[in-house]
Amino acid sequence: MKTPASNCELQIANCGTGISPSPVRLCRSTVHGSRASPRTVYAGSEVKYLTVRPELVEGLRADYDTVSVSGEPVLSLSKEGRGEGLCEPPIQIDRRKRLVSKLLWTCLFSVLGLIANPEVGLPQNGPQVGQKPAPAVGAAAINFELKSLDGKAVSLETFRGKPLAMNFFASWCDPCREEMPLLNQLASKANKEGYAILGIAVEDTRAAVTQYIDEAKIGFPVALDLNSTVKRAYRIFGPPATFFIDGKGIIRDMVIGPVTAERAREGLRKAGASR
Amino acid sequence: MKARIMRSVLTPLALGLVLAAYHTASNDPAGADTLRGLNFGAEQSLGRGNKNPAAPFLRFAPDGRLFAIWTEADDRAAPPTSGAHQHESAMRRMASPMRIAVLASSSDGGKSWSPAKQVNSGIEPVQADENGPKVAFNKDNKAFVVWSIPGEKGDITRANIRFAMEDGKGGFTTAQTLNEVKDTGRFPIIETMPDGTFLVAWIDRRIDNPQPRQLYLMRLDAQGHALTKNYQVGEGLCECCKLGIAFADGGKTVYMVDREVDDNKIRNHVLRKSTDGGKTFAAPGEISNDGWQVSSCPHSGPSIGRDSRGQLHVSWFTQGRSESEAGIYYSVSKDGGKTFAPRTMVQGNTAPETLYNNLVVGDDDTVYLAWTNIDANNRAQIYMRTLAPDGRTWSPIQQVSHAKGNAGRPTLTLLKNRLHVAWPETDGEQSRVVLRSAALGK
Repeated sequence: MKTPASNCELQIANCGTGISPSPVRLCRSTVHGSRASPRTVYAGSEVKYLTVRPELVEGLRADYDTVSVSGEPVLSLSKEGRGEGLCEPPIQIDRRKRLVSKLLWTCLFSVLGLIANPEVGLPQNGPQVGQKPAPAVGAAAINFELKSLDGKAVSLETFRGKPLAMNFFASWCDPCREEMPLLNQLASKANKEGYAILGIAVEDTRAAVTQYIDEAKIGFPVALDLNSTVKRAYRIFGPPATFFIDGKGIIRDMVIGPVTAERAREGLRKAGASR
Repeated sequence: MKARIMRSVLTPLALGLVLAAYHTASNDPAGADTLRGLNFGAEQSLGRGNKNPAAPFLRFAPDGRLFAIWTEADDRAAPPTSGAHQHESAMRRMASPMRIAVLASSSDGGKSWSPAKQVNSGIEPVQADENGPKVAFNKDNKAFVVWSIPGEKGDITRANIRFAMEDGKGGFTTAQTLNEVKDTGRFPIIETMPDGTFLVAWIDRRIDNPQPRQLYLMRLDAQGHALTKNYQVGEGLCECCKLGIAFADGGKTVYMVDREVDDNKIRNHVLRKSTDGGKTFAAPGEISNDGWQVSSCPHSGPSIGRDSRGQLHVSWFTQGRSESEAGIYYSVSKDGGKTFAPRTMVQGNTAPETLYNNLVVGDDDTVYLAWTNIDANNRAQIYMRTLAPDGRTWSPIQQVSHAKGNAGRPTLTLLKNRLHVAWPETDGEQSRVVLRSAALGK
């Protein structure tokens, strides 16, 4: 165990994941400290990739439990969930050597394994793909290029210069249907109030979306995300989700799940709509 | 010299074996041994390529034939709709939502297939994905099919459960609607009970307030006649997702799994147990307290299988309490559903995506689990693992599909020593159904 640093605190609220016989990842933890290294532990930010020994997950039965990063113990936890440890664990040379060696051997074996059966042997957790920074309020909205139902190119650039409410939906999705009258209502005022609404249909087919547009009388442009690339870029596990983007392409608000009239007004206001 | 040659051969060999052991152990839950991967044959496409086949479901008939049911685009003209947006009318003609359910069989373990037979004679948009058509068989190998179509106003979420069966003349009976209250049913399944009758189950919304849905059942006899009216056996269901079912005690015990939703939009998976042949069910028991709070609509239901020892194997997708917990999970009950072992993560999400899963249990009690996840090229693929009868020995994760676009919900079935997995693949506007089979050997 490395020397503890007193200015670190690990919170493990809402982590009742139950007993697991296998290593599991900490569900949500926050580390506070002033000497954090961006490579390992982020001070004051959410830490997603800490691995936790099973005894920690079993409910903090020991007086002190260990949290490790890439197998290296960096933080210890008390029963109350307060932790002490290094916010900036130095990567030691011997550890580096071990890592390189492990990597080389694993590569070698993977090649051998691939020769034997190219489809077998993927890791249990990962590889993590599509893990670009999550869309966040204040960050630039991720640009994309899709096609509308009538085949026209649609990208964020199309809407540059005016506030945009960008709604991910699907024809088969109950909550999407519930919020659609509100979006239609907003769309009816969009020109007058100087903003735009864009629908992005996800996990859907052209036929089903066409039918749904007709059925729900959708009055704003709809783009088809047929291969789920935009959905994944915006980290949407399931529709609906709405992003409010200002005229410069910055996300000013977002609602994961159905949007209410109040939240829509607030989002549009934050994105710069006049009313 | 000889000793030197031996050394130069044996040392790398021994090293390789050690590495093999190390590598497989590092990929699996702590303490678990590993199995070899499955040896799948080449991919086969099912259905007519120009009809965008989708939503496959596999099942064996009692005579050992392998059946596949899926949906295809319907060539016949779509009925006119009112209130159309004029500027979209041309596109709509090209993109009719009308689909047919088709059924084909294979007598040689999936190597060759009979011509596909159209199940539904009416022009209707047969639903797909989590809500696709399902088939079961009576003892005379007659196919009984259920599917879902949107309600009268075209609303997919206020749908109807349709049923047809083989008519003995090479075709199917005229479809009938099973839900007695119209525009309320969705996500139907049909299962042959051990006594030869049929159990049809679906998620129903005839009581629309409060919002959580109800679980409705109906029984059909071996000739397709109604044995019961629709009856409610549960409530509090999430509005979406497939149901899972398993039988025990000659059909006296019925197990069902589904996803529940509470007032705080927390969605956990539950097991419901009936000890009177599906007439009534006890209060649902939670399989795992995942605490997945989501107000959006990820369509991904659980799967259940029962082994020869009576153990219940369940798999499901959850995002848990944070994105980093998201993945496919597995648990087992060894006491008839009273309790479940702590969940085991089968594979974590590799990208923000709702994953789909299904499992089957072999005659030797091996569990075969298939699911979707995202590959390094940002495409959804099918993955598989097997769990040995000892309950702790997992195979490595094996990629089964090589989709150019995205692979979708897998369906799997097995008979004796042959496992079959099918899934839909989409790439832009195109879709297809893919089948792969594996011989199961020691």
